Amino acid sequence: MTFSWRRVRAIAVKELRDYRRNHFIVATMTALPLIFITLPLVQVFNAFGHLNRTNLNLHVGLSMLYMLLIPAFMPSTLSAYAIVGEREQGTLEAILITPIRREELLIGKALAALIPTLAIAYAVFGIFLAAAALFAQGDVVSAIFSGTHVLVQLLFTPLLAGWGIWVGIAVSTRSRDVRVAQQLSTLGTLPIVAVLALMSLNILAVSAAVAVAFAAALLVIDLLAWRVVASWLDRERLVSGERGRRSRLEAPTAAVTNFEVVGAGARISLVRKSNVVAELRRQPFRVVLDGVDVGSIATKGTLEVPTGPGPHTLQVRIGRYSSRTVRIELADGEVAHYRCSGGVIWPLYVASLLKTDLALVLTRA
Amino acid sequence: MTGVKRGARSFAGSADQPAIVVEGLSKRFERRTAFEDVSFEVGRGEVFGFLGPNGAGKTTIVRTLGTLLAPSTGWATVAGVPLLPENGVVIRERISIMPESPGLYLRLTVSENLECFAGLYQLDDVTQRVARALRAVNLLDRAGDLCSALSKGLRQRVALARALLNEPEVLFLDEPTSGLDPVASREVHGLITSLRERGVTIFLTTHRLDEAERLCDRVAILNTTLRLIGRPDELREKLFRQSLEVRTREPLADAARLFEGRAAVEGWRELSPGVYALAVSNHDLAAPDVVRALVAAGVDVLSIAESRHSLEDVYLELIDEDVEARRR
Repeated sequence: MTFSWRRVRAIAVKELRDYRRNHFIVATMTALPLIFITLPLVQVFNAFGHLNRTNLNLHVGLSMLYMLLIPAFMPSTLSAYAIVGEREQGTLEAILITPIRREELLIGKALAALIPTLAIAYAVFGIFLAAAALFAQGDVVSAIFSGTHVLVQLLFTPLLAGWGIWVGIAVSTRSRDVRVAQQLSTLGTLPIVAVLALMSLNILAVSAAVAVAFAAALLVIDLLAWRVVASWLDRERLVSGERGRRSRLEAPTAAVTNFEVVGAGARISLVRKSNVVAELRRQPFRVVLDGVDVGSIATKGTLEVPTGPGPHTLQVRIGRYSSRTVRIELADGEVAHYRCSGGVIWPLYVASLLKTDLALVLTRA
Repeated sequence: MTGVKRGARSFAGSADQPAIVVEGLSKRFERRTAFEDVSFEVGRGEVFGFLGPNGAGKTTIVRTLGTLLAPSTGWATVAGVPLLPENGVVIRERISIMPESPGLYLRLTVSENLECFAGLYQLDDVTQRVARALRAVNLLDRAGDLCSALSKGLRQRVALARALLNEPEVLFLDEPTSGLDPVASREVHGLITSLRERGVTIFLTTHRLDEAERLCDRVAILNTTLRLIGRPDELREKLFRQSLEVRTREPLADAARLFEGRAAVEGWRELSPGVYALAVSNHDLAAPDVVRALVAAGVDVLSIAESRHSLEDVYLELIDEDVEARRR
């Protein structure tokens, strides 16, 4: 089961249609750009020759900051509605009972907030630059186009929107009230806006290199936030509002016997042991053959899986962590021996927090 | 032929495999148990009713079998696929759930709602699929209407069309007529009957006993634990003895002599003057013999009728037992 962009598109299209017919959202999306294009233009056209270079930079910085408020607040407000809004209109369960994956739902929701935000923010910025270039005084134009203002604006618009989206969706997964979610998500964007304000107003003097470094850091934060929010999008918690008490389920033998083996068949023999020291992950692994769970294997355990000749894929998993998928070609009557373990190398353990298929090891014995 | 069917396709169930198998399934939350140690099977093409009072765990079972909640203990297969976290997507591709609330996007049209879900199921020929689903619920002419403009009954029909989009092997209907007026309920019943004729396996939760009695091949009564399972007539026989009700113009002077020893009559009691209830093992044997005896004794018989217990009697008997047990 691979990530499906078609499902992402279905969610994003649905969201955009919903925005279009929601008068409140249409009014907000129209009013915000009008406000945030008017204020910066007033700022730069008021910046006449009586201002020294420092004050001129301050005026330009303030103008830029106004425009950054669009990607800061618009997506966080939109995405704060993402989950709690579905719950409020009774559609959350209908979505969750489809084959959609949490990552697909998340990306679909995020794109629906990101696309209009970027379109509006860059359009406003473009209009501002064009108006300034055509009608503002020469030293004002020079202050806008020299320095890091344009770079900061271009770089931070999507990154700030990304932060706002993840904060909004994170709040939305935990909240039961749309208004509370929108207020909290707005608050959640303030720390990043504060840092940008310091940069725009030259209180925190930044070179282009520092701006790029800060943008890179924000990109990493956005990516981590995506992973964290994805893990919060748990069907059980979303539907019932609480975590169930789970005990370890034994894999039904039906998982194996359901395969329709015709002819002599083939087998995969799996043993779980590590060569040197204790495994870093010691829970029982789920054994997944051709995308289907066929049983579990505990430490020092063995498992034989009957199958048929031909190409197969094999993987071991614990929750979201897994080994890489191994491709096997089996002949009729062949027994393929494999060994798996919970990993023994610490750097790989740390790396597996981000790249989850590094967590477990599966090799031919 | 030598080979193996693998992956999601390997679970393609044959007609003789049950659509749902549940063994010792329980679901516990931190502060409550939703259902405990539930076991049953549902055959392919069967309409299976799940009855129980509010809070009995019916919806939680549907959510568990629909992979929205993880079971605490036990195991199950749904549409031939083991109920394991890894198989969640495969199971959800093969089933549909119509929740109690229709859950429609009210600012979208009927067809836009269905197109969204067709995308989520990655279906081909979306336009045709949507049209087919809407035709099945007699709503093709309302495809362009906003869902906000539809009545509650029509919204329920749209939700049913949505549930039919992926042509599920198993269709879970959670209180499908909840809050509907009698006319709208009758329409939904008609749709369920037509699905049954098409061979769709239907798992119907309801607390409307007339609905279960009319639509279901078998029913199960749940009150946290599974209390009873079987065909509605089997359940009646299990809980209630068959009986005849005899009405005479005058009270009988010697009822014992007339009733005792008659064919298939196991006991009797006087309900009121001139009204008698006879416990019988077989109506067809007992009724003629009792009539003959009464006529021979010169009694004016006003009526003799089979006492029938409804599924509601069965249900109330069981639930009352549970209430009594809790009091003790």
